[in-house]
Amino acid sequence: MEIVFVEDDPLQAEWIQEQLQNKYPRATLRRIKTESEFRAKVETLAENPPDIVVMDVMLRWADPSPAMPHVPDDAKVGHHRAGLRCQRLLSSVPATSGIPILLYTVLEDDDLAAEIRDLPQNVVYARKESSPENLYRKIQTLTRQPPR
Amino acid sequence: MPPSISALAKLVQTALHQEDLSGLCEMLHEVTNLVRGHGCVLWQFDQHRATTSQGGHFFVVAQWFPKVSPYASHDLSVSSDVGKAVFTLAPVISASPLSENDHPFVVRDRLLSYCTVPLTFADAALGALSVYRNTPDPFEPAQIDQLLELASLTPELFQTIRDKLSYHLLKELNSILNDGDTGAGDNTAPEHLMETVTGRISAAFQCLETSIFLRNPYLPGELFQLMATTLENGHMKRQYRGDYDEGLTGWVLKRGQPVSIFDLSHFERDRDSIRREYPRLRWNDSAKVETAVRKHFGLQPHHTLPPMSFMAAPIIEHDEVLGVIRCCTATKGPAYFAERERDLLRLAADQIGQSWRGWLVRREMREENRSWRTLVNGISKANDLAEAEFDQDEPSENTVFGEVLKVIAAAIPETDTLDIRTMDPATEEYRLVVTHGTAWTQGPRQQVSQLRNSRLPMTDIDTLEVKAIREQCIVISSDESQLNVQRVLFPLTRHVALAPLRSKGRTTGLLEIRAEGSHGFPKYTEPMLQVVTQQLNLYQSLAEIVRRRRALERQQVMDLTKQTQIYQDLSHQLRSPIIQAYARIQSALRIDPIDDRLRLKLLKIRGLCGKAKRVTLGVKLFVDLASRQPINTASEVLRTEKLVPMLLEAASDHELMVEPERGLHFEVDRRSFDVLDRRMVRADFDLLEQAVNNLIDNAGKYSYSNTTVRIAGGVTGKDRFYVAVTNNGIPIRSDEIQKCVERGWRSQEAQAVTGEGSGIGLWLVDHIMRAQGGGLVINPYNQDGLIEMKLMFAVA
Repeated sequence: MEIVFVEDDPLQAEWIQEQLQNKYPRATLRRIKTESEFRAKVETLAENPPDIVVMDVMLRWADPSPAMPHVPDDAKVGHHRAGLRCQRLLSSVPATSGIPILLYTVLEDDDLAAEIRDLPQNVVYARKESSPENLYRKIQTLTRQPPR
Repeated sequence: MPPSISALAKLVQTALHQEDLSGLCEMLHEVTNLVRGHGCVLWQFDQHRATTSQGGHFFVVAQWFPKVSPYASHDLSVSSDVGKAVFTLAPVISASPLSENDHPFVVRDRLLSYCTVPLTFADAALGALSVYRNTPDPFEPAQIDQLLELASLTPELFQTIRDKLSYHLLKELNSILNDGDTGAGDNTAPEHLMETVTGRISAAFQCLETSIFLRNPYLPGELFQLMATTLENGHMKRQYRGDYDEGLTGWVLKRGQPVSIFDLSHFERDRDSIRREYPRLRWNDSAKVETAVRKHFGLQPHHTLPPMSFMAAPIIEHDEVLGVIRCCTATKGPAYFAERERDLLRLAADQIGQSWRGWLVRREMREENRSWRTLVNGISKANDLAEAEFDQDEPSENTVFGEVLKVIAAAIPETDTLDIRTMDPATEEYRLVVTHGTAWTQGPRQQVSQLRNSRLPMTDIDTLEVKAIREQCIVISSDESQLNVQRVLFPLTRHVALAPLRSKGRTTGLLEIRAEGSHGFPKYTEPMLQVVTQQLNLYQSLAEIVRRRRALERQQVMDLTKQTQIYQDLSHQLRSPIIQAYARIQSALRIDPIDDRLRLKLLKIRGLCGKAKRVTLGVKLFVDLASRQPINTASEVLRTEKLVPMLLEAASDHELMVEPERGLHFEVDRRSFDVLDRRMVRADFDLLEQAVNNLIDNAGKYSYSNTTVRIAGGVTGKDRFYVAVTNNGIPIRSDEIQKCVERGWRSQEAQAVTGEGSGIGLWLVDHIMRAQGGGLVINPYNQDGLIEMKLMFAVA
């Protein structure tokens, strides 16, 4: 099993990685840190689709750098819905549109009510909680992978 | 040249040199010389004013004698030698002794003979020319022939003098009045212009008195006002109503017809014949002209008065009598105003009429312009007042309405009492809200109070108010039968104007203005009221909008207060457990020995708790500042042993919070804080911790990989302590320095590298530092090329 998780916060990423490794020790975990990195890797994801993408919603565009990737117009609105932009991009590419996506965020579902109302069947919302159970349950639903 | 031709040429030459009517006397002088006479008299036959039973008489048109008064008041009968010459159409020569009855001046000048020849005046009147000698020389036949020729030419030449005079006078009046029309008249009082005119006419007709009366619509009662007179005795009446009982001037004004009196000194004698021509004409010499004439000619009461010829012409423009011009008593010969002079006076009157009409029109335009300017300036002031009023918590349009009433009173002439009523939606009655004018305050207190509390019901009574309200139109009336309602409150009301106020197609109020004067409102009252009511409608609507907005604001303030309380409560609830957790982690970290992995985990948790603690304090400060509450501070002396550990912990925690592969390091220059040991610096430690962590947090977010965030203390040249955080990362342009401390602002680049935050960090830091008397200094490029943020502290 291969899980790609998109998370810009290092401590959050560390925690998710630990929980996923605990639950799916044989799974291959790949982290994407920023929106720009995700966009750059869509082609790779198309060539080698993961079993699931765990996607944070609030993401920065890039790490600070003198040679920072150019910010396209649609990303200039800010980080607040960056994960949803990534999800829509993935869903719009035929080769990746079938990849299950778990929108994993601290935002409440009513904060995202408008955005998650008409999600494709393979895209599911889950709220980040202190317990990983919700994360596991949603991954299981989306991948039909029985936990170890 | 034969002597007769030569004589004629001389007479013509003399006539052509004359500039005024007295030139006739100069011509008689010339005739006297040409026939070697001592003096000369020009007679005219008047068949209407018979002084004897014989019917008709001869009067002296003009005469010339050396050193003798220019006038002659005596006349001759038809049976005199003059009459003989006129009616036989042949010269009459007479030698001594001459009849004293026929010629009263005979004795005076010791005259011995005369020759009278007949002549005919230009208007076909019969006349004669008499030349007298005080020598016994008989009149030779050649001299008689010459006199006949000179006499036949005299009326024509006199006519030429009159024509010349007419042309010059009309031309000159045109120039004087045109100057008045085009400029000077607008700035100069019309009295001055008319003074020039009377002076010129008086000079042309050589008369003692010339006066002009004009109707002035700006005077009460629209009386005819004396504009100018050449009569200097001060007895000329100042104003006329224009009625028969006001004498000659009143008659002309009343009838709009000219009057010509042959000789006022014989008014009583000629009264019947005068009244046949001018019915109901009276003369009582109210101006004391007779006295003025005696004074002018130096006559004692027993002396016979000179002829007091009088003529007056109405000043008419578009069939309306605007005034009168009158002339009385020629001071030089000819002594009587002839038809030709009366015609000329009427032409002059026409010119004056046109000029006066023009002046009135211009005056009216000036008045209207002044009124509009007053209105515009007044409305502008009312707007200022409205602006101030609408800033109040409970604005009322009535304050502005009161000001507008004052403006209307100043802008529309004649306005005496004004008020505005607004409709009470409950009863649909119109209630008085503002008033202006002394009539509102005059009278007993109870009556005034009753007046003010009066309500206007919308009944079916057909009043002007009801009409204005129902038909939503401006009503202006001077019809007495319609003013009954107004006269109940204000008995002297003669004119009323009503203008409805409207909002959303409904009548919401009524503006009413009243006038007591005779003139009534000017014609621009209606457009002016349209402008005013539009303005009043606007004030009313704005006041309503502002009142609604104020109510909403009050509601919002209440909502915000509740919201603030909720935020504060949540923050409190959140902060307490976080601080507890933080304290317990600190306690756990002090356990010795401690597993390295556990220690690392605890440190990371401490970092998270620290962040949560800052966020909750940030929320509290944000709410306080958003609801305009000041940041409360509790300052203490800043000590190195407390400050440096806090900074070290902040640096350590932030380093753990960033991506390890970014290679970002956080360093505290401990030694740099030694400056604190020698200075007394006060600060609120919690707020300082918040501020410095915000700066370190920002530095962590925006720094490039493999760089160092440095935290150091220092003092400025002015000995102010600061804590500086320097980093190498996303640059700040100089034009962005000010924006950095604006709430919610982040540069495009900064926004791209953060996955959290709203751009309030530096805004909060700025407020925190200012609340402590310090400040935040942003240096986008310090001496090492790094970005530097300094927390400046006040000098203790």
